[in-house]
Amino acid sequence: MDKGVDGVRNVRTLRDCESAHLTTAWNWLYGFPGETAEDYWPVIRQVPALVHLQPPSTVSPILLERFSPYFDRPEMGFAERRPCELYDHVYNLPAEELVNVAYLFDTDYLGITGEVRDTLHRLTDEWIKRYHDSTLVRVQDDEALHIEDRRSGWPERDHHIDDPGLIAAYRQLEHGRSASALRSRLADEGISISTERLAAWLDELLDAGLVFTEGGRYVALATTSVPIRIRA
Amino acid sequence: MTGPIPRPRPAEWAAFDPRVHRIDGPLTAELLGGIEPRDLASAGRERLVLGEAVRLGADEEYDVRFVRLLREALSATVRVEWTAESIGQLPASLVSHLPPPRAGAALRGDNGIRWRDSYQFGRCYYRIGPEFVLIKDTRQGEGRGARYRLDGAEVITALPGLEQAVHLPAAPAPVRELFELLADEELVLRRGDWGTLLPFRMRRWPVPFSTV
Repeated sequence: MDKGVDGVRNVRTLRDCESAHLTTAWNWLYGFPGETAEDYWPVIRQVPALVHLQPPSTVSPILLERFSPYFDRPEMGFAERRPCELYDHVYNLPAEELVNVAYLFDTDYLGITGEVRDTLHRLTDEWIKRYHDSTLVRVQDDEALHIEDRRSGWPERDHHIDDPGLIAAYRQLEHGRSASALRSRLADEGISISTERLAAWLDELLDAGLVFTEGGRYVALATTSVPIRIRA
Repeated sequence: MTGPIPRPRPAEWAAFDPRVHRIDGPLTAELLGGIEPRDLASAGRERLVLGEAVRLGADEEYDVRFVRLLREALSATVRVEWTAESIGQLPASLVSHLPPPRAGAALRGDNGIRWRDSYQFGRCYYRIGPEFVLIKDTRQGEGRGARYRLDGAEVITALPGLEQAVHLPAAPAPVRELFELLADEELVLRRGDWGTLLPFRMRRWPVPFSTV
């Protein structure tokens, strides 16, 4: 969609809004031209780790809207388009005029299908159900960094990180870092951790669902506060 | 360097959780006067745990100070965990916007049960704008809710006085006048010569905000 953000940045925003008690209204769109199941599986597998963050309101295929990059550039995939069918019930206009006033357009569906789409819907439905009973909170005191995991679907666990180097590493991950950027940032702080050691630690965090990863970058998932949640 | 993710130590963690402020001894009116939820929140506290059961209905000043504590804690997003031996004659209809006791003998009475069952965050709150105050009160249910707008410099000046536990005979005239005005709408608690505001100031919205 050419919005200039990636999944790590989006997850970080969800985390920070949760910590700041800000309501986040968002939709998960799919159905982009050229997308494949392999684009989705790595993210979908991590959905259960996100259940303490505000879930999407809806999960649905992208709709072609005027002024969007997909509208302005048909070569991106939505070359075939026609004014949304609903306009026929509103305007008594010839098709060539309707094209000029329509904002929404129908297109052929070009996105993921089958198991990957079904799994995306099933896991996000679970996310919506589990959010109210899920927290993952980071608390830091003078001696250690504590991560209290009370997410639905996960074992009840309290992680304690008391190594100063790893506390610094975890705090760096709250920004969203690649392994190499993390190592470099830690070096700036005078902390030396081998590449292998860091990779193993990131794998452990990933297994415990404490980080989200995409495109080689990792972002820590625990919030610093839990808002008052009301079931709508 | 120790293990990457040190193993769980839940018992120790629960005992030293820096988010919890615990008061184990008996609460007195004097002690209540010294607890300021906003200060607790500033210090990183998110839960206030009262170890001893609270007994309302025996001391007017105590009752008013305790209700003020519940109200200010709600405003500061500090969760109060308390039990009640008695809630006296405190009607659930007045306090259904404040967190009820979690346990205790009081929950064996109709009034306590009504309070527990009717509590919902955001049922009676206010917001302060430039030279006006908006109060939303849905304690009687959404269909019978009310909104109030208070205007004028006198009201704005007097309101902070009502946020305290007020000894009414000694309160300045504008505070007493505002108290009586709000008493007509059951927006204040009166216990003998003592009183306080009932709506809490909404400082942090719930998620989703649109539910209140």
